[in-house]
Amino acid sequence: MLIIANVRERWSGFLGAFLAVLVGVALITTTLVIHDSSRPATQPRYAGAAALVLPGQALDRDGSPEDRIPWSPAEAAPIRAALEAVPEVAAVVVDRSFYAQAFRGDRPVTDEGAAEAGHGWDSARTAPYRLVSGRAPSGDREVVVDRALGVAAGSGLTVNITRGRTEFTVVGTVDGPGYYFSEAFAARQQPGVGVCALIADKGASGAAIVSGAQRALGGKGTVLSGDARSALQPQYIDHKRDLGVQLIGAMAVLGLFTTVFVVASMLALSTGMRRREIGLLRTIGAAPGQIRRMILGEAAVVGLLGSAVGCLAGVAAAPLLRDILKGLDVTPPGMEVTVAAWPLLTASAVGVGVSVTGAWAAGRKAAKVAPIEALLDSRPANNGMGRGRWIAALSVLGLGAVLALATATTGADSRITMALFATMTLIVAAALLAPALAGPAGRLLTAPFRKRGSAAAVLIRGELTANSRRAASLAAPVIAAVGFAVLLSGVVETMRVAYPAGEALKVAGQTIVTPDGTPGNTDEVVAANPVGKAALPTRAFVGEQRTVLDVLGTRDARWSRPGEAVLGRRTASGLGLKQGQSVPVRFADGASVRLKVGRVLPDDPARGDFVVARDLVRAHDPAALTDDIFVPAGSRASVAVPGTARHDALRYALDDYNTDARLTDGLAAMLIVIAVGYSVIAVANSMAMAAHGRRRDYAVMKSAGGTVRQLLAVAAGETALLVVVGAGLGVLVTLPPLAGMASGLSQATSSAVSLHLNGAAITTAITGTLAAAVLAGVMVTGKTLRKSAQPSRR
Amino acid sequence: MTTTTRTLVQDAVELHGVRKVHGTGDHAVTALDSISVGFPRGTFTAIMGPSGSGKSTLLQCAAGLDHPTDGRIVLAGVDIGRQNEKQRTELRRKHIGFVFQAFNLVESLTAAQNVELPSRFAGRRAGPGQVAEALASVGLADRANHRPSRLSGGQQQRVALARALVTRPDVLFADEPTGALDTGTSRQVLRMMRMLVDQEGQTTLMVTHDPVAASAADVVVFIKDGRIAGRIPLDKDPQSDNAAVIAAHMARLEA
Repeated sequence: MLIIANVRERWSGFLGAFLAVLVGVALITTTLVIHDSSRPATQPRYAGAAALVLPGQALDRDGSPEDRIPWSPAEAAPIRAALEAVPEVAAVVVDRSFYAQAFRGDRPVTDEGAAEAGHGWDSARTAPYRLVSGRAPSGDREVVVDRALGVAAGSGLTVNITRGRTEFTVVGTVDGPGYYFSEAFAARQQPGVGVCALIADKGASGAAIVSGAQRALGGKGTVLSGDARSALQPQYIDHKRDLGVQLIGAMAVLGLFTTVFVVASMLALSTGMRRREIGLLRTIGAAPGQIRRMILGEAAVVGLLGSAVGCLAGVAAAPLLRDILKGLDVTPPGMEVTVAAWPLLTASAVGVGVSVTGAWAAGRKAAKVAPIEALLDSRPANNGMGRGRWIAALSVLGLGAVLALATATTGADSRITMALFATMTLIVAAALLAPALAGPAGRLLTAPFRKRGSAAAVLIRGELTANSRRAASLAAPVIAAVGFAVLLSGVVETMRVAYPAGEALKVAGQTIVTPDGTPGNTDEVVAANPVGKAALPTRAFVGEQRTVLDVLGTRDARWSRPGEAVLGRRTASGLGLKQGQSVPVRFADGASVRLKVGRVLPDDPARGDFVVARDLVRAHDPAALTDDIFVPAGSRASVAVPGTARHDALRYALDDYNTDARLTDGLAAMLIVIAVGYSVIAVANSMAMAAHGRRRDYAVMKSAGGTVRQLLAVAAGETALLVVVGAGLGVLVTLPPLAGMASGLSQATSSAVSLHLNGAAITTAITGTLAAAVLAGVMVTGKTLRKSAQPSRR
Repeated sequence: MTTTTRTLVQDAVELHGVRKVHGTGDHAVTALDSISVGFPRGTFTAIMGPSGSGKSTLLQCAAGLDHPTDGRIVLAGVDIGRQNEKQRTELRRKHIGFVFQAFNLVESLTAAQNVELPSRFAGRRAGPGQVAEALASVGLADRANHRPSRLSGGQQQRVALARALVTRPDVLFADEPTGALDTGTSRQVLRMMRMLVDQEGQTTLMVTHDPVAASAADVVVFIKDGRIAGRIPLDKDPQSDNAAVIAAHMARLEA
């Protein structure tokens, strides 16, 4: 009764928290909806397969299940036979996917999925795609292509495959994507069997086929049917999805933190202004626990309301986020926004949880209000920094300092995360310390106006000193907004300088030949560049445990000894291998080879963790494509083969980095907008509450001859001043983590990296916050002034 | 008024050598200087004194809102100095009622809900009949569903009295209950308080600076410099001008 009534009656006090929860829940809803919508769907290519039969999975070094271990042709034959014997199975198709890409003149036809576009002719049955013209391929020089390619049956076509550009005759066209070769040709491209697709008889029961296939397999693999078939995804789509998930994940985490932070500071403020009411409740018999539950209950109700509206807003905003992600090219192709129930329920639960968490401190404070405060009718007595707040502020500050130091020493992978945590911690510390800082800072900033005493300056000075808690809660969201803006733009800027510098240093003097429009370098390109590193990567299964890892085939004479492997130290110890030992290595074709550990060397990313002779990899993975080729100074890098590009070291490093930078830039921009938006809500809320609480003061000032315009100027001046103080603190708190990051990057890249700030982004964030906050402050003050001009009913 | 054995031997509130010192060292101010006084059950006592005499501190200590520096306070037979926060909450629920100068009501609740609130905190619900009856006895039956913002100052004070009527506290503490009201409204509120004492036997302690308000009481206790400076039992005869007597006594104290 009391909780609902309080929320209804004091809605203006809860408005800020409501809006903060709304935005937070909207953000999380959008994120989850997009995440849900981008979940893998069954590839159209497999639409006609009743079930997909896959070999067992291998574990990686961390023990998490990764690649499936392809069957060798010999292993596959009995399995295939057993599957064919399953009742109602019309056919078993061995589905193979390898690199194939048509060339038009000297340009490859654009195809993101080119690395897996080549198949055996039987694979056309799994969709199924039907022949539109011509006939099925037979022999090694024939191919059937997508009719959308616009090549008529009977004409010649250059198709780039792992070997290089090869002339084929198009003997037919189908109504779906892909390049379909004869089964014999496909089996030579990819000897190992990774997928068997079961084609059912007409009117067959899917369930019967699945259970039959499972019996036939006898535990040697997995049978996927229905939506589970979506587990099979082209790699490039998986990669995009990963990037998208990381992006929106970071957004959701920051959104969550900011929501808790803003809700906590706003509820603390509104509770602080209700001390007398709480004292009254205590005098009429409310126990401290009841007061705390009341505050938490109010937060829960506000959270629930905010969540309800936030869900709607989030659903409405989902297409917008999808378009942004699409612009950044991190969505799976053809993604549709679909709204399921679970994102909404999860986001609402999070919203209520966040609101209640934010109210925790306020509830504790409220429970400590003594009954006697019912008798004190002045403003909250406990204004400055209490001892508890000092202790909390300083310990959080210490933790932030430790995290900032850790940013410098931690590994590359966790550096940004660490910087983010350090910044969050320091933002909390700054917000806790703000009451102690806002007063002096405000006095300092208004000092020049003191002598030429305009009334506004005097009033603002007085307000900052007398009510530093309120000033602090106004500055807190600004600290967060500006802090994040500075950090994110600074991280992007510093890395933009650091990474290319480090990368360029590593490859200095070399010329790099990269694929251009193709997913990797073909053997034709490698042959054209006989000198320099040309790593041929493959996935292989090492040891009795069949641990899956990247194996690099090298042509570097130092490491490529037949029958031997060179291991990095970490990999060797992870696998429990020592120099001189021999280990079975199973390749993509299902064949096992015993290799001697020739040498164990210090880790070096430029060499690789598990290096064998290039010919060995080629023999067992005929379709593998070669990585970028690093041609040393003094040798000529050739781009005579079409579909390649040549870069000098710096250009290469920059290009390599820019792909990531585009994403981080996009992320930073989105996060800055969100953080600034939050701070505006909080500032407006805070100003509204302050203006409400100062109705009497305004009446006094008015009767003392202040015009409405003067009073609005005071509100504007005060807001501006607090935004400046908050912005200053926001910049300050980000410097240690950024400096830590720069120093960490210097060590990692062995080049001097200094801290870089993105002036434009910071200026935009600060001016944006300033303008919006002042506008909000003036608007709510103006509204309160008009209201208080009418006679009060009491 | 019912008489039991306990009420014969024990006052509703007893102060034994209560001292209250605000601040420490050179800034120490003695607000109450070893006061011992008892307030019998079923009586209406007004506490008066010049500004800074310690009359409000006396009320706050007696009601357990403030801790005395020294001495013992026995309320409804319990030494409240030895109680923990939980017991004090219980004490406030069951044995103490408050009426302050203003802001007695929770803004977001209606008059009826305000009256009902203490019993909710105590975990039991006052029946709607009980609430309506209490509001009716202070003459506000038709305002049950109004929020405080739609009630006049006097009406708000009467709702606070109705609240005390539902909980039936051992002692009702009133701190300047008419301080924010005009004369007419003051008189109404005082009449209600008097009625509570006469009809319900409500022990009442009221701090006031208004001789007219004080004249509604049975006894006026004067405080000066933290000590008891006098005690006047008032004449129940409606003809006698108690207010004038009290005003004269106050004038002597302030001189």
